[in-house]
Amino acid sequence: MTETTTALVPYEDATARYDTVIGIEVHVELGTRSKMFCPAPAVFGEEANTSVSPVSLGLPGALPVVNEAAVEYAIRIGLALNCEIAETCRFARKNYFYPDIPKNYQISQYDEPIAHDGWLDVELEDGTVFRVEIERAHLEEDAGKNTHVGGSAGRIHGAEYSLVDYNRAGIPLVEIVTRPITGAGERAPEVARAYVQTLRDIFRALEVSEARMERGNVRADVNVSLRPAPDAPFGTRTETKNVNSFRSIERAVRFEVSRQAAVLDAGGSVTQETRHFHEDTGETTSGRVKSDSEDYRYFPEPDLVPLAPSREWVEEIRASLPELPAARRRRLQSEWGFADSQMRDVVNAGALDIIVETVAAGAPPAAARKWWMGELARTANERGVALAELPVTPAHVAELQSLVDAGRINDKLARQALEGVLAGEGTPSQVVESRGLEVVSDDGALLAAVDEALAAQPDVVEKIRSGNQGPVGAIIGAVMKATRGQADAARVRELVLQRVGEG
Amino acid sequence: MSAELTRRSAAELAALLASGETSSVELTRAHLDRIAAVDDAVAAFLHVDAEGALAAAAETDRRRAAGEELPELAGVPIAVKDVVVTKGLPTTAGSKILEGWVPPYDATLVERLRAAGLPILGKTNMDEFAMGSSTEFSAYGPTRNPWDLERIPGGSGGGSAAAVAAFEAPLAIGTATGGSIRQPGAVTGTVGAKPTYGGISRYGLIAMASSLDQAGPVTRTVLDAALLHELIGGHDPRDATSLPDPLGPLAAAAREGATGELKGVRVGVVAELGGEGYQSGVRDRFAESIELLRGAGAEIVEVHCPSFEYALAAYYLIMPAEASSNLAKFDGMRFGLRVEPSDGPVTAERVMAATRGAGFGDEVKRRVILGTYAHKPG
Repeated sequence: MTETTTALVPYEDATARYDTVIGIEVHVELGTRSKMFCPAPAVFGEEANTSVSPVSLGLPGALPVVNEAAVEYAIRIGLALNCEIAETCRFARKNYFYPDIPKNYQISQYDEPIAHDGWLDVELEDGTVFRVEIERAHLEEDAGKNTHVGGSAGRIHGAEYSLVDYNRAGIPLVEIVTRPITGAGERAPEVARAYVQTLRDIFRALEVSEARMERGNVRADVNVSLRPAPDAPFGTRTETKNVNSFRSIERAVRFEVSRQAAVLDAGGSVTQETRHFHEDTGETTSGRVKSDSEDYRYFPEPDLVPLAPSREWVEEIRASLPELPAARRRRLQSEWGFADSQMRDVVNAGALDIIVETVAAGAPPAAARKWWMGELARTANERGVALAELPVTPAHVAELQSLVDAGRINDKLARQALEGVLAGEGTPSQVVESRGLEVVSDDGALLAAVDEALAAQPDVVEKIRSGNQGPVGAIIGAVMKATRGQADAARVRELVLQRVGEG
Repeated sequence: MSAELTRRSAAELAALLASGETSSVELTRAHLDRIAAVDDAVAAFLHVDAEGALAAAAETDRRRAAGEELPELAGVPIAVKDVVVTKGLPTTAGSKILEGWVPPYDATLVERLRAAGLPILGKTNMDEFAMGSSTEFSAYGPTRNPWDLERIPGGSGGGSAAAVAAFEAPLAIGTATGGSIRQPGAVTGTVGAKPTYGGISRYGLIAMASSLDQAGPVTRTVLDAALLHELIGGHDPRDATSLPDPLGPLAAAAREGATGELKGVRVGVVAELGGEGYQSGVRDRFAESIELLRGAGAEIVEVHCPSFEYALAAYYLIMPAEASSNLAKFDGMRFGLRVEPSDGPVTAERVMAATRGAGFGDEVKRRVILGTYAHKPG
């Protein structure tokens, strides 16, 4: 890396002096059974070069045929992003030589994307809603995967040789391109992150992709430029490629803002180039210089006929769209009666789906939230795992709550039962049984404990008798202690008052 | 018998096979003998597959003996232009860059030939990547015109035309982007037809210009061309530009026409094809043909295709533009020739450049470069 590192400008200083403009290109791999243009299975993790065909290897004579399911998925995405769906559009060849592109051109779409002119409302963590304008969403095929062997850090420079796996070549992709995102100011990194996160949730809701960032199902290229003021023309942008986690997206934007501000402060000019983000350092480094109209020699793909999705089909797809995440959240919040902040916490903790399942298993929403956001969130946090990875199921939590609601255990016993479930001792009922946690509401057993407690604290009995009910709690506490927390507190209170009254 | 067999039309041979007067093995052997006798001089074939052809012939004979219903041309051997991929048979497109490449799959039309039981005699010579009109620009040497070995057989499909003209094969497959089927047909006195675009699947045809390429029959009679066209034509789901409609009754029309009675048949003559730029001999033969049709009772009507005026100009832009992109895949990375640079680092880019530099002939390089400029905006 030959790069003169300029000292960075602290982020807050940078955003105080410059207005940030970002633009994001997201590639999502579609979860179709077969590839974009041939029947080879679209798979992940198979042995290299086993899921290929003459078409996806670019063998002489092979021809592409459009995968109808991929077109449908692209339309679903376009509709979910409030785009217009083209009545007719064409594929185009993007020509460039690289070993992972089997034909040395990629079949993509150029001036006629299948979906265009949409928008997406993105909710930030504090509940602010930011609208991102979508320029286009188009269909294309993925490239193969290069592995550079020998040399340092798997990079091509200094490698002894490179291997190419074409299993990924030809997997359908939809590329979604935003218009320049202005007005986010110092929150631009957060907007970038929330935008990609929202897209990811939409892909999953639409069932068009598993949308796993760590597998590269979703890849983001982040454009950043600075300008002196919101009414100034756009500055020169850089494009940071393949930023593959939500956190990295945020960090990459922050870093570029600080770096570009330093360049501009020093009287320099930002180079239009692609940059690489490094997870370890949080920095971006220079990739290759990009001319304004990089020459891919696009021309209409002559092996394919134009795509003309009928309006009937588009409307059918629109009608079959599932409820999207934002609408679902609004609906659930209103059904559950959660406050805005409660709902945001649930969403930010990634507990939404698990609470839905817990409610479906019979728990009242407030109870489901209490367990998952309280006791269980703490445990998951301690163990460093996601809620869904805990050995507790939504059904367990619902069962636990039903035991509480039936008065068979109280909150304290319920926490002990949950401990047992977490320790793998079985269902809540089984744990209650095996640990003997059931609330004691049998008057005979309780009366003995009440009498014992009263006898031990005669002064308290006096106070109660003189009309002061405050100290009843102390007696109840003693009874609870004597019964190891298993007494039915309400019944104990009744018995205490009854006994004192009798005396 | 053998010499006599090679001089028959495919339809006649099909009749002999149907009546049991000959077998596919006998026919195939007769043509292989003929190839062995004359092809040193004609050089129509790049690769002869005697073993595969005889095995396919025996299989067709077995199917016939078992009483299977077979297509009319079943058992009649055929030659295939080397731009069409054949599983297990070397396919070079006349280029060094594909020397030694054995495709792992069959073109759709080859699948149809095999399924119909036609033994494939071998692969025929052609101008490299079908770029030429004389078959002199094959990387493997020129093909001769059997009528006069000092003359060209036309091109790019000179090998298929010469093979049929020299009685080395009763049938052959040609392909055309501009005139690569018809011009060799004219030059060798054989029948060549370029079917309507989309009429025959291009799957497995090594592309020059995707918008223009089309495979077609090369034969010695019109009926044979119609029979072969019917056999290989029709919709193919693996070719997105393949026409969805079924073919018309071509062989029936050819048989009807062969009676010499064309009453009720209307023939359109494109007015724009009568313009300047044709040799007088060509124009005269064309006019004579029209008179022959009229004499046989056909109604001749003039039709206009105004856009024909732009056809040649469009061709010279589209052809190299698409060819330059279609030929990008020949880079030494996955199949065919691979040449490492003689000095300096062995990077992917340098291997691609060295391979393409060594593997492509001059005419191919010219068109690739021309087409690359044609893509450039501005």
